[in-house]
Amino acid sequence: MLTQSQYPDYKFVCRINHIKTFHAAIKSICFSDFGTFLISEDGMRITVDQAKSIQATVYMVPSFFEEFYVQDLQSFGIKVNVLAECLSLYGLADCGVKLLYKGDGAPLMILLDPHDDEDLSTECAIKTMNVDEPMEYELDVNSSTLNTLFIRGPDLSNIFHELDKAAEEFEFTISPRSPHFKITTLGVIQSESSVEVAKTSDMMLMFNCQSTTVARYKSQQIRMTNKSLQVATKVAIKTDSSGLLELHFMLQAENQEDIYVQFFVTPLLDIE
Amino acid sequence: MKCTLEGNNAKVIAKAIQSLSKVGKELYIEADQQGLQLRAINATHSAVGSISFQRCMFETYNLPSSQYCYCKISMKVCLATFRNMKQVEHCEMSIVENHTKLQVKLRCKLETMKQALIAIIDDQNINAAVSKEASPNVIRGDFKLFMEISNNFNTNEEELTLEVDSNSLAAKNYIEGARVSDRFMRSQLKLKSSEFDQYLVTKNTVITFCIREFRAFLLFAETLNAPLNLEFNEAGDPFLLKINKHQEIECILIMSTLSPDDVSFSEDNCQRELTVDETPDSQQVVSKKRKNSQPIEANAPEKRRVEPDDSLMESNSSLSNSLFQFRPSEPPSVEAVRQLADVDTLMVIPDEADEEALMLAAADAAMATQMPKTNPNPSVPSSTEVCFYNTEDTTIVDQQQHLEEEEDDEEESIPQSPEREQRKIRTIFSRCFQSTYVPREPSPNSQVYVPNSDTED
Repeated sequence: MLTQSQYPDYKFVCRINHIKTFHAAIKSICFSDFGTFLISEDGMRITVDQAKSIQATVYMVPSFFEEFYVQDLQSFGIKVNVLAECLSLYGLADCGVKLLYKGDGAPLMILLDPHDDEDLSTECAIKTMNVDEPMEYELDVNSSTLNTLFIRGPDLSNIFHELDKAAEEFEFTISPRSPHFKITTLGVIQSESSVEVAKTSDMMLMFNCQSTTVARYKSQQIRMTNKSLQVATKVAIKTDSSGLLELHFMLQAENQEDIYVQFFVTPLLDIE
Repeated sequence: MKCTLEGNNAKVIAKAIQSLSKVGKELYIEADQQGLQLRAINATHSAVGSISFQRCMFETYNLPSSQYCYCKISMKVCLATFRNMKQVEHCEMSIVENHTKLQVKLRCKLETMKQALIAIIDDQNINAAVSKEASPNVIRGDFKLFMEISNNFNTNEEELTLEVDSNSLAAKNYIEGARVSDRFMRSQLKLKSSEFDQYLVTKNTVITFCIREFRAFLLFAETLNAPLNLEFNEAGDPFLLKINKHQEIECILIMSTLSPDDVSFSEDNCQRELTVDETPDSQQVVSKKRKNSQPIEANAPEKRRVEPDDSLMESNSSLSNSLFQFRPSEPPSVEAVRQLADVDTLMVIPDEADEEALMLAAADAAMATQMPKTNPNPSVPSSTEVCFYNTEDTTIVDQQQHLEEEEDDEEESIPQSPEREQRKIRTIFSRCFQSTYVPREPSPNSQVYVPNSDTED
């Protein structure tokens, strides 16, 4: 464990030995330029938002890291795509990474050590910005209309992959009666298609549905979750009568804790 | 109409749709008491593909009270629905919503159900008239053999020419005597009749058809693991490709072929006189068949040519390249013959077509008479050998020896193109030698929907 004395100047230090999953998680939220880092004793969160209608957060618990030290609550903004590029400096080679942050105004230092070459190491410094706290979306856990589904990652990935790419909107229907989980594509002339999964299906790890919810989302936003979906082992889909959709991806890595990527997508409202 | 299919049969239907998608942009579905037929026709109406599934392939099969129904749907949408069939266990197709939509329900593994509602465009249908008489030439072979033939040619080849006689079949990507550019690589694959399951050629012929649709159906034959039947008569007549699997699945592809009028010197087998016919058909045909520039330097015939009509002997010179240059990049010759559907008849402007026809015939005749007989006789390569010809080769094959020396190892080559002669032809066809072409009238290849209403013209 780190002690204060080892890193007197740094407000935040962490180390990860195998960056593969971490890198995949960062890449999956690169749909927007700026991300907000929020680091506390509970873990590290990186949040990305677009147009206030879709928000993605990557978060890791302290036990995910080999080393994790933070002083108070640190929050800063950086460009996530630059961070993703720095992590991909060694291509597919597995590296260890160390993140260091001195505090307000200081850049985020990234030290990369490839495992296959002991003589090489890279140091990057990414400028940080002051940011406001990201908007917090939350689904009321006590709501009577809260529906929660746990689905196997690869199977859901197949379903999403086969959805019509030309469609503009996807309509999600979750219901205690059949159809239990249905995605309909809308907006394509000459064809409407839908995919239904029964609640008894093997791919449904958990199906907790109180009442029927139907909501529409922009297909473009749902497709932003593709990268996370491809690497996720499990996906939790939560929604309630408000229509706010929470997609919770669990990225599992061997010998490591899970990384969670959480997407909030706001529904399209009928203006009539 | 409502029918259901078990998973594997549904996969076959999906493959059929994929093959038909390479033929046409719309899928015609017809359901009657015998079963379900899927058809497609290509854009130029020169190929019609029809795949029929007998009733016994379906689990349940319900027809409306009229006992038949047909509809036309967009191929693109249909393809998207039937794209991923790996997980499919059961398929149901029905026409719903007062005959405006086709509903396809695919029940997949893991209790997933995919459903698609495809809008029906209209209820047109294609009728492909197939002659019930047996064709003079029937060739049957395993799909693997035809795959080999097809793989011999580039994927961007447009046409395939089959030259058949009683003992052998030659597959080529060119027509002898056709005007092609110097860069054109000609390849030929010769097969003995014994390679095929059944080889019945009663009429030696050279027939050319579009390879794209051929390959599409070949792909389907591969899925079915069934042999292909080729039935044809002669150049200009329809070419039939049939696949039959257990009497349950029957496929037929009818393609139009190049008329011999376009093929200046196909063979001795096509003993036709190069006369200029006044009928609209041949005018259409002749005016549309144009290959790219430098026709004269390209291959001249290999075999001894038919003696052309005496009347054409007057135009006893070869015409310069500029004659053909004002028709750049013509549509592929598959458009030339439309012997099937009576649609899209072209309005040919008689004067120009006449002139062109005459010019073409003249050129043909000229080439016929000017073959240098200087080189030794090469012989036909042995069966299944692929030959590549150099456009500058100048040998000519004597047809007698050609048949006798089939087993020799020397290569065939193309005779040298005839020398240019400056004759009085220039004064007769003076306009042909002008370097620029001013299209005062619309080209005969195009369809005139509305005549020019400009009062000044």
